[in-house]
Amino acid sequence: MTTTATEGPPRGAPPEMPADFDAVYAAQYGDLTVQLYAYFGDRQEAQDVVQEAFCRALRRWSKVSRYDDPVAWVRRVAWNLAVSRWRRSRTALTFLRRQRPHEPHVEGPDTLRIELVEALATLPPNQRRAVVLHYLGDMSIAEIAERENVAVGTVKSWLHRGRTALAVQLNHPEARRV
Amino acid sequence: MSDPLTPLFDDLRRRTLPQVQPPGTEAARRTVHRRVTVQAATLAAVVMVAGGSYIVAQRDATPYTMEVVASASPSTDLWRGRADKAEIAAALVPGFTHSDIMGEFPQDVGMAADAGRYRLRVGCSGPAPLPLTIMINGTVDRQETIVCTDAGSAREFELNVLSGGSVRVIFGNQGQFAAYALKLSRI
Repeated sequence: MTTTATEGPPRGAPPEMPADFDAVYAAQYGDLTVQLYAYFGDRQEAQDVVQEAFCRALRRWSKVSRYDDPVAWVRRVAWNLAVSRWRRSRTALTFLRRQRPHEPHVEGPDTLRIELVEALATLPPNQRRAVVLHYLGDMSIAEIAERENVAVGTVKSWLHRGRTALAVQLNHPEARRV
Repeated sequence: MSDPLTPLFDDLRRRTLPQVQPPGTEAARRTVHRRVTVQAATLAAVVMVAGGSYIVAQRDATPYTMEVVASASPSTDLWRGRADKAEIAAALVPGFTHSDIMGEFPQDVGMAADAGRYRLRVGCSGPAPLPLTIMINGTVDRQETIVCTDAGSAREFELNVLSGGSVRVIFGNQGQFAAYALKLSRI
């Protein structure tokens, strides 16, 4: 048989029908972007990665839409893209961070949000992924362990260390500027 | 004790979501369309280069002068029909089980079938008529051509499978660029 996934199912399909691409996109694009924004610290980069993941899903939607959880497929691709992009740009980001002048923080409604994203950026990638998936992806420890292909205890350790480091960063923001 | 980080992340989500501007599903479709077109053009270029090399090699190997007929200019519309033709075809066959866009080769879709009567529904959208051959347990049952249009069209065929085996639908490559979707259901 020589068929490949190319498109989505008909719109307005009954529940047993494959997932509708437009509906999945509308429901998930924002949440996925927020998760990856927390991971990257760059909203545009996060949007690009999520859009790319949806493009890849669309290309094989007739298969993906029949999975038990098509959203999980899109999320996995988006995160894989994010991780590989992060690895590529890590060196450049580190350099840019070192070059960036320390501007005084202006207190405002978004200060804590920015501090949280900045604090996340100081975590090692695996801890950061675990924290983001847990708090923003609403994934359980077991689900993260399965996704990351590690033991549940490892994820617990990542989360514990991540929480501790975030608490230190948020209580003593000057620590991350050293 | 509640987790003090939870409200921080909730706030991050709540404040970031309104700033997210999705490019949209149409942008995704255009991206996929463009990539497929580039892939097809690249494949065509590779085939042409390989074919040209073969002709040159054959000519050089021939002891007498042979006139090489110039090949036809490459098709400039390697991708024809509507960008959403695959979706149009799929929409014509609710619950479709197989779908694809015809390339330069025939496509063979095989499905297991017990003895009984079946309805085969085939939807297509595209610029070219889509010839198909239906085989039941290895024997040609019928040959038909579906008149594809950009707006999409569908045909139904009733099949009688006398003994358990398979139903195969072979699409001819004359239907290149046509998108199809099909479903075999028991009557």
